Amino acid sequence: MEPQKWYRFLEIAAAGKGLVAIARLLAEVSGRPVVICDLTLRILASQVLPGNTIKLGDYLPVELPREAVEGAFYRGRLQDAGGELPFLMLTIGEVTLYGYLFLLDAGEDWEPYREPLKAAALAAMIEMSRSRITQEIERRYRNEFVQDILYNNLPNREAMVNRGHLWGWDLTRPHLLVILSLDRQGQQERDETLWERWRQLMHYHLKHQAPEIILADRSDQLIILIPVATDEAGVNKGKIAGLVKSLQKSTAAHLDGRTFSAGAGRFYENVTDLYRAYQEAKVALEISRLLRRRGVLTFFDELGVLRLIFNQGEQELEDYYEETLGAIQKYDAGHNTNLMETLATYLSASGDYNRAAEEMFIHVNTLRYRLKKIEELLGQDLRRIDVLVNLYTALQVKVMLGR
Amino acid sequence: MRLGFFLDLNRCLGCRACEGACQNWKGPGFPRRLVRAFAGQVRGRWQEYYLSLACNHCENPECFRVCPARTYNKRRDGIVLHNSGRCSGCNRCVRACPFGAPRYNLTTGKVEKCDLCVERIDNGLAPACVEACPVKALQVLQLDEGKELGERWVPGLADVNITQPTLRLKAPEEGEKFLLVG
Amino acid sequence: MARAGYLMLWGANPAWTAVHQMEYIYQARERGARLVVIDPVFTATAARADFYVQIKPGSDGALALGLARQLWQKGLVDNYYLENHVQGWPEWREYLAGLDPRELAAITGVQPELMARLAEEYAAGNPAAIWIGIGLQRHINGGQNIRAINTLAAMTGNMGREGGGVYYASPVAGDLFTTSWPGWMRPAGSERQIPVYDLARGLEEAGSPPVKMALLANANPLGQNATTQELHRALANLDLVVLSGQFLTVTARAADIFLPATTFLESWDVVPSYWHRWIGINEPAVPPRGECRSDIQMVSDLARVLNQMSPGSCPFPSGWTEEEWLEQVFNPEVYRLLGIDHYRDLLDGPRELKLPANPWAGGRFATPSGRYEIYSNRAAAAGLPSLPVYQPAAAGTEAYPYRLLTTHTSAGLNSQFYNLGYAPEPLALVNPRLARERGLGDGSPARLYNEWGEIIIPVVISELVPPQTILCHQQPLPGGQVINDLTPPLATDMGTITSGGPGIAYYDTFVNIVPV
Repeated sequence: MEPQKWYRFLEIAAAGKGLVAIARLLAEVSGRPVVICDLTLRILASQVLPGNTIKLGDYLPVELPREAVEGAFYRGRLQDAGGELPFLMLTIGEVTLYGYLFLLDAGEDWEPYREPLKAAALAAMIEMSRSRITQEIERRYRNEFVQDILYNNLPNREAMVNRGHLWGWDLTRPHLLVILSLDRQGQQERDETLWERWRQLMHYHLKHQAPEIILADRSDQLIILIPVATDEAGVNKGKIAGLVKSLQKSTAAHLDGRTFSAGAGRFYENVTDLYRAYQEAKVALEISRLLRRRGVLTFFDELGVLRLIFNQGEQELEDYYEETLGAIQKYDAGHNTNLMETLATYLSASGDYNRAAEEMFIHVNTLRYRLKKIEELLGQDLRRIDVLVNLYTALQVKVMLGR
Repeated sequence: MRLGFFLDLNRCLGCRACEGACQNWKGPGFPRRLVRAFAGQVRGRWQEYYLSLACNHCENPECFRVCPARTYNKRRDGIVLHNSGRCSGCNRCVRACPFGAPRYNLTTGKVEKCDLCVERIDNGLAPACVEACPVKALQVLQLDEGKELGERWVPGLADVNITQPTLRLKAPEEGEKFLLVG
Repeated sequence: MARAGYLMLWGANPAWTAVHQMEYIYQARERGARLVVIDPVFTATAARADFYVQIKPGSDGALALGLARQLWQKGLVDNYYLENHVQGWPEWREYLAGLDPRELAAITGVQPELMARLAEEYAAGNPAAIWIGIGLQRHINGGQNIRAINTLAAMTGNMGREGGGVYYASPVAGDLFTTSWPGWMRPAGSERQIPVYDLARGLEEAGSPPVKMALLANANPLGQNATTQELHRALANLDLVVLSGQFLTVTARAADIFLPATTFLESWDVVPSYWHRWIGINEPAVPPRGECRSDIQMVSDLARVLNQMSPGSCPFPSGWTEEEWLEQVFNPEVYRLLGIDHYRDLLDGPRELKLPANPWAGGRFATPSGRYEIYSNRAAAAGLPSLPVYQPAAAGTEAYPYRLLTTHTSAGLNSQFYNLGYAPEPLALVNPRLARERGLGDGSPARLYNEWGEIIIPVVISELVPPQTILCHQQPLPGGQVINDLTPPLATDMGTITSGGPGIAYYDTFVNIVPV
């Protein structure tokens, strides 16, 4: 490629004309459609040539190619209504990855596009790193402010409300607080790129679906503040559940079926009390983690007895479990039965015989027989509420202890 | 940036210099740091070590959550502070902390707690306890995301799952042992 | 010590008793030094070691001989050093050759293969250092045992090497202040020594003239001497017992008159050490409280009154202030070594004596031959074997078969500092086999007794204590019991040259034990 064209790409980047201008120039030079995506494959800029019928949505529907054909160049095929479209892809950024540059409709004859693609990717990197820096600075200030609220570092309500105004937030209104954290897969180490992709995804999602929501992050957790108009728990919880559900959907769709766990604090009228909701949300999240739950939203005020037991020492919990369920475990181990599972299913079905039997694929009389066996082993009456509460708690302890 | 204590259980000798230094620096009352001995079976082996513990400046401080008087705050560097001006001495934090960090001072009627010698930290100095340690077992670390600097829990320490202390520990290592046959 | 390439702690437990030294040990380890602990008890230091070897108490010399024999047999000795800086190598070699390794293994409980391994590791240490604990000499054969260990450093040329050699208490710094004392400190012909290891009988049997009065200072003999029950009776038989001190110790309670002495916060003093070469000055922070006086004031005043009653009867100076005493104590040699002209210069901070950091550098020794003397005529003249041959350790009897070890805790020093309340619960630690033999239950009280006394104390069963041994850390016992009630009046084999007389063989105490 002639040096002037390199020069033109860099000129666009230097002048800050934006990704669209870069895409347009590349399309012009190559005569092919061009798409620039972020790490979640959300389309940031695209240039389709006149006469071309490709329909692009918000996200580019491709699987990221895994093997490079040469250097940072990848080739793949775009699934389109009109069939398969070959493309050439180049990563934007090397050490820090910013996104991907796609040249569509580029088949075996890709060689001539190497130089323009490289120039365009470089220009895009300059553009994206610049806006990343701006975003990062904003994010840092926003995080610091939100954390100053949540860690009680501001002197009074007035200071919070006034500073909130600078951000366009009305902190005189009550806010619900939810925290989110990606579920790890097995013993996996923390994955920076994944976290970054997820954070950006959630940020984008909220910005478009619910711009009034405040988003901040700390360590590997996202903090969400939802302004609400009422103190009615049912309405508010429904609102949180709805939001979490849509965020789960988006996460699963764009991050290979990944899930996150969420914890929600109680409702507080005043912004000065939000710090408690924050701590509560974190406790709810940690307890759901201890119970090895995944993809679940946990409300602090629904933890109930679990809140009381998590403070107990491991030995106390072991003893409690042994005393309450030890006999059943021993019987199961000695007779190759599954009374423990039966009991757990029965309780999680809230004592509904038919539902429990169905879940276990057994006849309802088999279930009755097993429950009778359990009563015999424990010497306790499963119709008594105190017995059920104990067994339920012990089953939770069992999960916590990883038994 | 988050600050946290680091304790090397191989190095700590339980000499209590940290306790004494804390009391000297913070004045009369009780030291905000206590050295406890641990002895017991760990994965089938007998182990003995000392846990020198103060406030763990938790990521999820329970003291902070349960205080009805907004007495606590957590600085941007992670230091959890107790503002005694607001403290009514209700002792909820004393009961809530799994590590016994906040303690009730009978003479002032308020709770006191390790503040990581915040006035020294802000002047670029190490906390009094760290400075006093003769074997460099106790240090202050900067915890960065995604980098593990030691164990989060060892036997003898209360549960860390909920509160997520910033304390990091180096677990004891064991050498070869030849005992007389009795 | 931080420069050691191999570090053998022999009967030393610095993790509890010399915390300040642990940093240097850690530094050595971080540079790759291997840390080996030899001790009858698995101590807090042993728990931090790379390798721990348990031996039978009092058999240290036999283990040293086993290692020495291995060094010689495997050719791991430094021949140049032996030829040029050591006296008695041929005699020593001959003695080693005659030893039976199996016999040494039986004495120590350490198998020959383990001895071979230790010897090889030690010889490969570059350089290798040995730290001998003070407790090692508390045996009737303790001096010989230490001499035997010392030969290892001489045989391998480690003696005098930087980062190597042998560490033990050094009297040098303290002696600098006393060597130039004038005659009146020890008037000729007026001195009579009563051995410390048998103070009770010494007081009772002293005739011409008999002892009628005791003035005790800086001491708690009813807590820390041997046969404390007998000593109690001996002191009670005196006409007058005066004690100057700061705490109501068991001895203070038994005294007729208690004189409150100043603490270091109230008086001037000079602070040398047996472990380093630094000299500090102690400046009082406050004037003496109440009626407190320093020991030197008390003795000066006593001298004054004696001379009033009988002029010229006491040459000890009276009327000097504490600071005037310091003027006397700081002699020109001390000033030269410190590089100052007045003790007040030390108020800016302690200073290091300009003594060689390594006293045996270049293989020169302050012995008659100028060499390291494995074969020592001075030892022979003092009635000891010329060579550090093994002298059998003390053994129990049928009536009192178990050895009682009384080592220090981390919370105090002898009977001091326990007022701070850091002491762990007093316990008797016994080996499982002993517990089985005597029907002792974990946590239940037991009676320890011998011909000198008895105490009652809870038992803890521990594999970390050697067989046939009971470990009671030195600390106050419940009900005012004193552990040294059980200590017999046995003398150590050495100590006359550096300490003016043999010490007490505390660790050769044998007892019996029964459940209560």
